[in-house]
Amino acid sequence: MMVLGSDVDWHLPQSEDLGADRRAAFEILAKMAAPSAVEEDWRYGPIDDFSLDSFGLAKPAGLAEFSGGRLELKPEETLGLSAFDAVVVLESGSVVGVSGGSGVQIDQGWGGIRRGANEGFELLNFVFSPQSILISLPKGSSRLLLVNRAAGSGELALPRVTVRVADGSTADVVEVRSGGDSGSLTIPVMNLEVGSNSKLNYTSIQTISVESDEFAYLGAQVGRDSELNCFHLALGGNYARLRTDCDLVGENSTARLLAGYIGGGNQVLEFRTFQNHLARHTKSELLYKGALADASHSIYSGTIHIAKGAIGSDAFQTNRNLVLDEAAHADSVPNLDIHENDVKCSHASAVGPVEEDQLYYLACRGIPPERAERILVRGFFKELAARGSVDSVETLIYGALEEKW
Amino acid sequence: MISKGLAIQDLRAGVPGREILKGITLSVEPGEVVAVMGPNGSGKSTLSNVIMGRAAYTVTSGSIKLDGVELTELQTHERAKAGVFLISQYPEELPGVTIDELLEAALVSDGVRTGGLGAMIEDQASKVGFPERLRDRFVNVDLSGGEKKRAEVVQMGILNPRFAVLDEIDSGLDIDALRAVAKRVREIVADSGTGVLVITHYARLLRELEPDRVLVLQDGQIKDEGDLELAVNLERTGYAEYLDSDPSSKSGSLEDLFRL
Repeated sequence: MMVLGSDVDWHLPQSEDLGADRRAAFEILAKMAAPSAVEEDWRYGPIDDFSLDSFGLAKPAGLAEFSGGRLELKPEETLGLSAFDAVVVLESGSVVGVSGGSGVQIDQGWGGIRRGANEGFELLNFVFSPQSILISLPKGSSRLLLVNRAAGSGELALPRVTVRVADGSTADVVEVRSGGDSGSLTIPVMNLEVGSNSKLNYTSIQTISVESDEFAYLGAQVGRDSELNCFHLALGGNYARLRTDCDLVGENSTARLLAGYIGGGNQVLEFRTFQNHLARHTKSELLYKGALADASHSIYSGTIHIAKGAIGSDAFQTNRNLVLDEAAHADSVPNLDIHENDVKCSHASAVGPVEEDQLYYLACRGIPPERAERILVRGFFKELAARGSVDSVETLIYGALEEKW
Repeated sequence: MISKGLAIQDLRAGVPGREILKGITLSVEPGEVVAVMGPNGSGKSTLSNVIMGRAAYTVTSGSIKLDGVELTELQTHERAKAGVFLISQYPEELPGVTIDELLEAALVSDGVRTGGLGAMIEDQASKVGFPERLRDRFVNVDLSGGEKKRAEVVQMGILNPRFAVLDEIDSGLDIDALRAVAKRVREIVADSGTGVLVITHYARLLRELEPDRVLVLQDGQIKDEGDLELAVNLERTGYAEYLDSDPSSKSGSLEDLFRL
């Protein structure tokens, strides 16, 4: 069959009950061309070197009932954290283990936020994902760990999860994306639905193999008087891209979108973000910070969109990149798309090496240049890590710096 | 015999294409406070940068020795290890770096054990009247001008340098901060025998610091030497008497235009 311009040997999942929406999406996919660098969304990355032809669909191997199953977790999957109300483990897009419960409800369901027809890989996930998981968190407070293991060698995995936070509730959700064999591709879709008067801290830690690729989609809807704090740490992947669409749909809703990334070798780490202000008095703050070693490449491209009528919106976007080696580079492209007058909006971006004046200051204290650079790069991430809700983030960042630079 | 303290001999230095220091000779003995005054553009900041070995500056001839050790061949961090310390006009902010981390790295690279460092920092901070929580802040981030200079003197007290350059540390200081900083520098000089070269525009700082000698730097050369009275007079009368008496040699003057 033809999918995004590739002739692939795949089968539609559960084809008899695909449903009208997914059928329609499949029709689009069959005619849609592969994403290419001609499109603004993809122009800075190596998408043209990429083809779906070589991937086989990961076999659905999930639990039919969402309880029990395989729950042995590796230390890098639990990050030393504990006291979760529920743990959900996905492997190659299928749920293989579920523990806990205490009000956490796990169902299959094909709802959730979709970005429309312009993101082919997201459509592909919608059509071919073996299970779309809806996790409804209970009223009150709850903590969820989601372990999302990437695809096996030569496979394409399509995990699809929606997390729903009830009105008047607080939740901590940690997602660890790990694993991934050489020559695999994972397209994970995560949708966060935050009701009104609620708060969600969502931390995603991406540590997949540097020999595997990932095109990840994060969609969020934040309701009235609610707060979403996203923290994303991107360390793994050969070509790893994350697109975030954060919709502030309720009045007085707030989103903080933070990310740290550390590239090494020939890694390409790409981020596409949308801060969509769709209601009055909404606030968003974005801070993405990265360091690039060896011949790694990062791409940040972000848009603040303020819709007509979103009076009193306040949006801020900052992207800072430290380029640690000569062959490394970073693209940083902030954009504003504003359709309302009575708003506050600003953006800032920076790309460059560690500051000469700071190195000189440390040298004046007797600290050799190499040590000084390390102190400054750790400092660069320290403020960011301190704002996350998972302590081990700082350790992971320092570990990645040791390993890659 | 090796001379103690800092000895600068016939120093010529500048940036590529421009000589700024044009043959400077000066010395600062251990425990001595020597002030260098001069108008803008006289070479004051260049002098501090050249002593620290900042990469943008080159020494074309002459020498800078500390306790007999030639500094001009050393990199900045090696000079610091040799015992040179700098407080600059605008101390750099280091987001994400605490004073504990900074001093630990400085002391470790010096081969000094860092046990009890936190208590040492707090002790030094109290001596310079620094508000509490210095250790919770990142180095010089969100500090007022006065707090920054106090924090720098905290570092000086712990690193105990053989010799320190204080480069226009009076800018942005209120009188209380100025007094606290000067008093603490004086104590360090008395306790540790640190030699201090203090670079400034103003006698205000020097009244507090009471330098042993005052040098006048003009057009990259030492033009005069005296005591605190010289500094006080300079602040009143300016540097006019040290300006080159031959106007035709002044760059940028009307005479230059007429000669074209």
